[in-house]
Amino acid sequence: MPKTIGLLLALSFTASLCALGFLIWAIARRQFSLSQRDANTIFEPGETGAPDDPTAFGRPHAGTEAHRFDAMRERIDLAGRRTVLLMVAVAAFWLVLGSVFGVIASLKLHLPDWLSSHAPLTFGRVRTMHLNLVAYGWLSVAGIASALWIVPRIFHTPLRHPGVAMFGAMVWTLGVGMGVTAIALGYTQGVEWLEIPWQVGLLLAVGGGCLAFPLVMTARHRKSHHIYVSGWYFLGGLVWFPVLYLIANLPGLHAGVQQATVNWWYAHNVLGLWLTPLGVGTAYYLIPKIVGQPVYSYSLSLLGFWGLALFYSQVGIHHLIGAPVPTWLVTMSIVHSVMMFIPVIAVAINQHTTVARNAWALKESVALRFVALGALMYTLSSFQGSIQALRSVNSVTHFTHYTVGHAHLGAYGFTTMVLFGAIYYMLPYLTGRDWPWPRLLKLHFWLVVGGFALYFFAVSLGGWIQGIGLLDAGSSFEAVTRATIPYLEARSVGGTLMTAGHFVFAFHIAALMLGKGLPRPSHADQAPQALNAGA
Amino acid sequence: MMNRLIPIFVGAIAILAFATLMLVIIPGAQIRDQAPTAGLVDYSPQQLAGRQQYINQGCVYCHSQQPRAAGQTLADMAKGWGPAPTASDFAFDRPHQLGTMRTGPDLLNVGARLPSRDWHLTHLYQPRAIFDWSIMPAYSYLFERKKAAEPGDVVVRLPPEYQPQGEVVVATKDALDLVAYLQGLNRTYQGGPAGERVRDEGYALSKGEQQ
Amino acid sequence: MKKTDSRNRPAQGPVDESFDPWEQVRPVPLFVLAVVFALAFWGVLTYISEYNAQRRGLEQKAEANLAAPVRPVPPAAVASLAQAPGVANLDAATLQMVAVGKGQAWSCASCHGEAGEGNLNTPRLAGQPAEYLHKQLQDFKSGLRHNESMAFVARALSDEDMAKLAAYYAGIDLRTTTAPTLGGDLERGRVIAEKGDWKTDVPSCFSCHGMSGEGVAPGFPALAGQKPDYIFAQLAAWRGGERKNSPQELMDGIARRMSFEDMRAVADYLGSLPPRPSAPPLQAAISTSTPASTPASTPKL
Repeated sequence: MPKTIGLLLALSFTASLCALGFLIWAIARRQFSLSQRDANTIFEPGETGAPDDPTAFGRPHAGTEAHRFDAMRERIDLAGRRTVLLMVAVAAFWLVLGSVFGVIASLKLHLPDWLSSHAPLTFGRVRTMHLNLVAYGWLSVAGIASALWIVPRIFHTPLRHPGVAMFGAMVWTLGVGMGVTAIALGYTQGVEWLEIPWQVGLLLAVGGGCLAFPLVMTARHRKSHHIYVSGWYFLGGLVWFPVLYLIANLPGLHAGVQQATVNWWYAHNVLGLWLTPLGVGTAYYLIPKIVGQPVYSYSLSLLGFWGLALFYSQVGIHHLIGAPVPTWLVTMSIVHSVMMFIPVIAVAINQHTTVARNAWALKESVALRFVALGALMYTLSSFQGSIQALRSVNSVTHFTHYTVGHAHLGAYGFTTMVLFGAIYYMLPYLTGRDWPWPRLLKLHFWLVVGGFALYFFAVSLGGWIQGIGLLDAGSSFEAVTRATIPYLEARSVGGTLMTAGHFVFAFHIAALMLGKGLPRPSHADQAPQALNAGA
Repeated sequence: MMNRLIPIFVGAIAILAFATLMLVIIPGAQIRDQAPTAGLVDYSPQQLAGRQQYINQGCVYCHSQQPRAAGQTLADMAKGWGPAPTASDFAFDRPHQLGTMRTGPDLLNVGARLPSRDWHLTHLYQPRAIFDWSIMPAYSYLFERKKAAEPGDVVVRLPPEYQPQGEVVVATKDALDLVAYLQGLNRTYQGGPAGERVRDEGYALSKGEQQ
Repeated sequence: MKKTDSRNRPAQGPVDESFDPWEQVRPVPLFVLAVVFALAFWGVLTYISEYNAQRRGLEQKAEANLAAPVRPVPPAAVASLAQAPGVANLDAATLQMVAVGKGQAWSCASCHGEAGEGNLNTPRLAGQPAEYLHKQLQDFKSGLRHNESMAFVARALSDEDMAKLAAYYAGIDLRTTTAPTLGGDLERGRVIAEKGDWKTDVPSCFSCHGMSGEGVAPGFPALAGQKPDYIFAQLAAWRGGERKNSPQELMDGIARRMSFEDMRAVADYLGSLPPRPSAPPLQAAISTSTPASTPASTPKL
């Protein structure tokens, strides 16, 4: 290893550690002037101690809590209301479509001759359409919708330029639709997570910019003294994703193995510096809000945020362990992957303790169940990821279905569940109506939890067995393939249950938006002092 | 500090810039410094067309192109997947197709292991004609069915249970291009001195041996 | 939004409203600090150990480069493959099978090479004993030897076809050499091939396969000059139970007693040996006293 490369490797590690050390010192010396009081930014005076979920008890209007209403915040929702509702509807549609493609792809793995006579339905394209639909269609759109709704609330000021956001949402949706159609027709850039041709990617870039602009403007005109932790995550994600997307998609710049490093720098950072901030930021707002208590240790959230930024950004090459890339690069990513324990534990302490101390709320709020489960899956999938990055474990799991299970634990078990909870929480506020059939929330919950549990264990176990078989020189590829079939079949069953849950979810959203559901009591004429406070 | 926008933005960008430097720019420079391996030739136009087929059909989602080194495992070698490549072996790959799944076998040296054009045509048309346990999709739409072969047609050899009644299966240009690409996938040449080989040697190193 | 100056200055103004008596004095839990420190320490140790290992590795490589000559590049594909003795020695029907295919079977040469020289883990057929090749084809057809592609081919061949093909390939006298491809320890391979490893009950290869690995008809194929990847793959297959057609289960037992590293070593060594025509059948050797009794026009079987 040339001396300069070795020195740079040392530099990366030392820089990250120093930054972390500085951060901890600064927190200890109260340089950040962050206090537990800042955790109360998300509450109005006197609200703490009262839980808030419009669909508590699985039915509306249960107890005084569900009546509690914040006139000021309702007004704040108004500006972005139509944009958020449109985005939620679009996201739910992409979720259903993406899930159907996912089930088709899963079935094709053990029924390979099914639907194989036409090119757009071949496994290589259906799987890609599934990934792009759920990543850029469902997760990104629902995540931004959640940010568009939460950001005005934490900054105590209405969304600025909602028209631009609406335009951006439409352009983004157009981009996703065209991108997935292009893939079906065989136009793909051929790089995982970056398949959408860059010409269509321009639409995503423009749409994304138009969605980011109102959020940044709202942040600039904020009325709150402190930027709540969810704000850091959302703003960070808004800064990171465009940079990643732009660099990775620049045409003609990347080739060969160097492109592989860009590929996995991009793809893994989309997960950790885009989807994770959307999910963690949402969870940081919703968990304390629903239970009515601030997060456990607010200063820990600093560690979680900056630790995520510092360490996550350099883990991408753990997708290329054993590949023709420089050893120092792989080692660096493995080390940073393990260092990820730090921010993940910080977030876990905050979020899980807050939930655990108020476990009674889980029984009453389905939205909280989704969000808390999602937060737990974040912790678990990150731990799993850190361990999977170790060479000894990676030797078994690399190239197998196990990795697919891990990816779904993160993108589905964590981000999707959190966004389910967010949508169930937000929509009654946005539409002014309660969910028409609260039992469907529970049906959705059990379908996706049961389905995903089956999916995850099937794919993880099957993948592990596959990995052990692939490492055995005396075993044939046939034996390995035959061994995985029952697990692939179980995965199809799990995926079908999950998709059924998504149909329930989308149906319910459609019903609510089309006018079903009892109107929530309108409090437009409530106490005037609430209206004047910080409006 | 967390109450102001600019420090958050600047901090976030700076951290990502640093990560980009470490993960993209420096490795890129190191890899680009490597000349293509001696003996590696660029793809022919037909192979490039075939490579585009490989990409458009999404073959990379089941097949890798990076056999593992002996320092990590001898299993890849035992399957005839060939020697572990270095970064210079991919100099002409735009885009790379290294792959991250082995639902199907590694294909970097499939042109050496299975050099027969007709084998690939049969296998692409219907993998289960050869391997009854295979879960690979059938690419029948890359082929035409005709009453009789015309001069210049390449007829696919099929067992009776997959041969359509009274018709012959003929390969289209797309199928032939794809097979030409597969036949060209051969990195088993051994070139030059054992100098700087840019690949992850971490497994061998952690076992304390040299490859 | 100014930063609050929160250094410990004595009694500055009113009571600090943000003080929460229940909040820990140290806002960051000790537990987290401990984990951070442990991970940082582990990271540093990992980095140091891998850096040192790689430096040592590079030094060793540099020494090895000085000590040993550059790894030989195999000779370019012999332009005269098609001119090797015996390649053109076949009738029309056999030529059809070899060069074009028959029925569902693909052409033999399309995988095994125009002179039967093999490729990677597709075996070299040239110069193998005819009876051995014939038996393998029969075993592929019956399923006793498990290989899907060869079974596909063998199903299209009659027994007479198999005999003709076997005789054809046996008659090819191909002298091209193969370089080792597996990075195996050639010295260890030589020891096993010549002497075996009696600590693990592994007999020497040459005790059955001919004193120079040239094979002994009818049952012991030539190993000298065979593709190393093929030899390794077959040894691994015997050990894993994937190949089961060895008479008396000889190879099954031997392979099970070998380590994969030894298989790699011996495969590389055998592959690097110059190929020789294989020995005549034992009965023929006993009944005929001079080699001149074999036909002069075709080379040794």
